[in-house]
Amino acid sequence: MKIKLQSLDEKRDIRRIDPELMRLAASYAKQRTRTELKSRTGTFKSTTLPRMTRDAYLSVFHPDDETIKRPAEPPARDISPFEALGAMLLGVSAGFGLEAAAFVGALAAMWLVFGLARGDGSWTQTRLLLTGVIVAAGCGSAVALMLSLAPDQQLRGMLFWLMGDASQAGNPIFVLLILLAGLLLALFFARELNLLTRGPLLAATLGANVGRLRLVLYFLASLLTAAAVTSVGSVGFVGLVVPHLVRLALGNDQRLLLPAATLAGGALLTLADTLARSVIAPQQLPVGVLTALIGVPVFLFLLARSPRLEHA
Amino acid sequence: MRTIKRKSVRTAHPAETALLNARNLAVSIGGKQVVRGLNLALQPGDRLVLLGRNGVGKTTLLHTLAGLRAPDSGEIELSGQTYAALGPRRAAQLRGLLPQHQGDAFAASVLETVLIGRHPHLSRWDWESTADEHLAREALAAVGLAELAARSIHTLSGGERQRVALATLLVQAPKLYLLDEPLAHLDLNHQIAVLELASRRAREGNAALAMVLHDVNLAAHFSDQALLLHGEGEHELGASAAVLDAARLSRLYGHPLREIRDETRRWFVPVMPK
Repeated sequence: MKIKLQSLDEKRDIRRIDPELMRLAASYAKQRTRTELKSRTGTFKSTTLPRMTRDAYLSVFHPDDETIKRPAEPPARDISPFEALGAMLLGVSAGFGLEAAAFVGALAAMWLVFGLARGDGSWTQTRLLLTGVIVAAGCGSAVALMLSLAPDQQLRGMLFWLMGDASQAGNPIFVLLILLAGLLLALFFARELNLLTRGPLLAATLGANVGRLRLVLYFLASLLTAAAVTSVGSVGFVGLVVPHLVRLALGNDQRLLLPAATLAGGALLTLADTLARSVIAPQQLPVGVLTALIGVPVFLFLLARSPRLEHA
Repeated sequence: MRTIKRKSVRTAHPAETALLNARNLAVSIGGKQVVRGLNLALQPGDRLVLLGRNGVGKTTLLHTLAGLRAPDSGEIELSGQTYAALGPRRAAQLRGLLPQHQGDAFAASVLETVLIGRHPHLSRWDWESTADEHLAREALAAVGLAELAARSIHTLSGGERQRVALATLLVQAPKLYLLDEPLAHLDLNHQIAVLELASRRAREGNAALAMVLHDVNLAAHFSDQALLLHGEGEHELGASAAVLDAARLSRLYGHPLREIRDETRRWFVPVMPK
């Protein structure tokens, strides 16, 4: 069976896959698994090993930045693996708007994490962290499962998208409007965010409506992450490293930090994307790989330099 | 339940003028009763001390009075209005809480930390003005930390951070001060200074104090009313001079205390094991 779409490097192609195609892909994968089982040793090296590498890739790039991020950042930002899952699951199978699917996926994951972590009515940082890691691991495996079931021609595109790939980003107006609206809304609550960094108790005594503030933040973070992920895939480390860098330069006032981190994040991504397009031209790299390559050492340096940033 | 009536002219005032008015309050946490049937009114200038063993629910009661958690039953009014009617912002202008633990997740300067206290007095898009900064520097001077304004909060000692938290509360300038262990981590001189500062605020600023203390002698000296929490919801409330005696305190802490007097003052000292 010849598959219509030749390459799925474009996110739009992922969106366009029709259910018919998915069924074909599934049966193809099933068939392949059967063949694999039959010829035990022969195909082990050729199919299983690359798949393991792929899974390792995913776990390195996605659930892990979850672990590092969560204690320091408002937890709401760490949802790109969930986003990816939401986008792939809903967007691929049902074929409705990818952006909406990612948003729904992010909200669902957020609801799941905070719902489960809450338990007896109060959640602790540790419990939140663990729940987040576990749910992220679950989503990561679901993404890996979908990759295993996907036809080989699509794998490259899916992988690139999962690593963050700006090469296919389309008209930015819609996403830009969401970003501006989100930034304005965040700035509206900026001083209350400052309060929240001193702990929910102090924030509440100083007049912040902590419950409502959290709801707004979770919603906003889901929306913004969905907008970002559907444009350029799940680019890692921009959201992790940039706010910390800006924080070192400007201090902790969210009224400055929010717009500054937005600009600096965009600048870093532009820089990384320029490199991704030119380093081994004419071939392009996924930009997420470069941001991670820059992000990991920078973040480790920051951690080593000021341990309190993360653990105070 | 024994409740000793205060013999004070203030009780003649109608209850509506009270800064804090709690009626028939029942509070519990995790199935444990903290108080039952508590009636408490604090007028401007009043200083109330909460005493009780560890884990009896002093902090829980203080948080309930601050409107941060709902009581099981009963009503709490701040200047004649419930917390629900006031809303969080107006409530924050009227009452302030010194929390038991200071959490500062991210680095900030001491001055920035203190300026946070102005939040309820600023409108949404306002930035802190020079007047606010002036207030913050005054508050820092009042707690003896004027020189540390530019330092990072993370470089301070436990006692210094406690005083920064107190300065934050001072710039919030509420009418009702709820202090949860204000003397934690403080040296003796700072303990007295903090209690004097709070008493002065109550006297001159027409504010009321409710504070959790562990030192019964400081409690006896710096309070007008005392609320003893005996556990199981049992409490005693009354004028400090009447409620604080060796028998009650011995029962409260489960350890014998003796009273020592001179002409003007009395002290409670624990009986030391042989």
